[in-house]
Amino acid sequence: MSFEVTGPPLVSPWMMLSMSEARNDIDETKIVIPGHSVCDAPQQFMRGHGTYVRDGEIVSSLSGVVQQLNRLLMVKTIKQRYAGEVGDVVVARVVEVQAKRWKCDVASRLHANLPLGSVLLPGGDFRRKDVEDEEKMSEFLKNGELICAEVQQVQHDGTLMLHTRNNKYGKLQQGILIKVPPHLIKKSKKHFHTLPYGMAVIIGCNGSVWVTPSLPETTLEEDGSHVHEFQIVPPDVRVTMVRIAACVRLLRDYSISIYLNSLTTCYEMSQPYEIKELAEQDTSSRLAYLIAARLLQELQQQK
Amino acid sequence: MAGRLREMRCELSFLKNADGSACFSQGATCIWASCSGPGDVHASKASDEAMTLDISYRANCGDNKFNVLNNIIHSTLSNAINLELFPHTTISVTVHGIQDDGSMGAVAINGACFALLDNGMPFETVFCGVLIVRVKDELIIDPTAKQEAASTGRVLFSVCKGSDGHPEVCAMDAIGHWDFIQLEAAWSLAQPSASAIFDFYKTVMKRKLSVDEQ
Repeated sequence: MSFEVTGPPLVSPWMMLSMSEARNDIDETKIVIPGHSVCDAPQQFMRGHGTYVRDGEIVSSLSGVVQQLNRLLMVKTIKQRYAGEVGDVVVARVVEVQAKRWKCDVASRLHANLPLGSVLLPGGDFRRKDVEDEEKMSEFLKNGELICAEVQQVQHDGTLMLHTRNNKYGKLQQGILIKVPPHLIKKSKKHFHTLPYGMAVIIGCNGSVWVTPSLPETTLEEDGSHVHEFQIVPPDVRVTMVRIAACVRLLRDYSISIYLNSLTTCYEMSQPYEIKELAEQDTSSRLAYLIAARLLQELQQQK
Repeated sequence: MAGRLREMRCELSFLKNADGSACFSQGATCIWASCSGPGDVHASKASDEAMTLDISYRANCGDNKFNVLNNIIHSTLSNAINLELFPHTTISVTVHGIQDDGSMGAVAINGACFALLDNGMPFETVFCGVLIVRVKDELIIDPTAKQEAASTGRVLFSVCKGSDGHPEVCAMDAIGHWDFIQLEAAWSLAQPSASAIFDFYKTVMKRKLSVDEQ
């Protein structure tokens, strides 16, 4: 009986780099799949995430790498659904309008809730929401509309509570949405980035990246409400938007972490190529290799 | 007894839009499996106690409304996943038969397990499928379509890894007349094959993790 193991359709460029080709730094005994025993002496350890106790021994419930923190054993998996944390910036899509709240899809296990009391509505910044506001909910945010919000609370069942009580959050318009696996998003202090090319990028922790001409300017009206002013996007700006979106897709396809530095590096290195060339495998693999090499070099310089 | 599995090939993260997916083939039999979830579900389908399973096996041709494999995959997953961990959610597992050269049931179960492994959701133990057919009183493991057509009986074992590390039956589908001795012989033939498939799972995941850990 013979086995043949093949990698993902587009192999990560890290595999092309000679210094990490062998990947000898991963201890093979620490790689587990569900049902495998995690340790030989379970009495000495406490079980952590990704493990459960069966017949007195600690067993893995995830496919991943065993990590030990003092006496705590846990299994770290790479690919998993987004599990929100308080303070995360997310790009969500409204899926349902309910009584006093909107249900939003954040690519998590359960849909997130955006309560009526946690949004800035036209007609005043921080005021109590009345019956009239409740009736006009579907006018303010309709089904299918995109919003940018922050995770305010994580409930015991895993449901996320969102809020947009800030001028930088709210409805998103005039942009491109790219979905990437959440594990590729690198957590940072800032998730709203204004790029030097007259572009703004919102890198959502839930794996949704929003590319827009620039973060919309808000003007304050007499009644205290914030109104977004949108203009027609000129063709040259649209081309830049599409190039940045293509760069995000390239980073996604080659499993490279998405953060400000990797995005700007990719954008600058993609300049010699046409946008349509970035989708071709020959060009994209060559470019991904160069990006990975440069990011690795920068990482080593920082160390 | 003919006890030899055909060559196995697997490619993980095969489909971009699924949470977990795999292209798995055993010999010339090939399937695409995808697994999405756990995700939110409409209130009419949601259960307060447990996660709901949405299983769909689709053959490469013909009527796709219902297939007996749906039940087998459903009962296997119910046994492997602790459904009570994720109330109010659903998981959708779809298996598409691409090319059928025998043992489609076993290949579908193996593909579903690979998709679940690629998904990254917690479940209690890995599982696999082993098909055994009887041709002129001879038991053949992992048969081709030709051998399957000539068989007088076939039994599909859905096997999960037991607490002692040995294979255990969690679902079974038998066609034709089987007496106890024949079933015992079939099961003893299936056990080493199941262990080999479990080893293959680990080999594939080691390879995947060595790529993704970067």
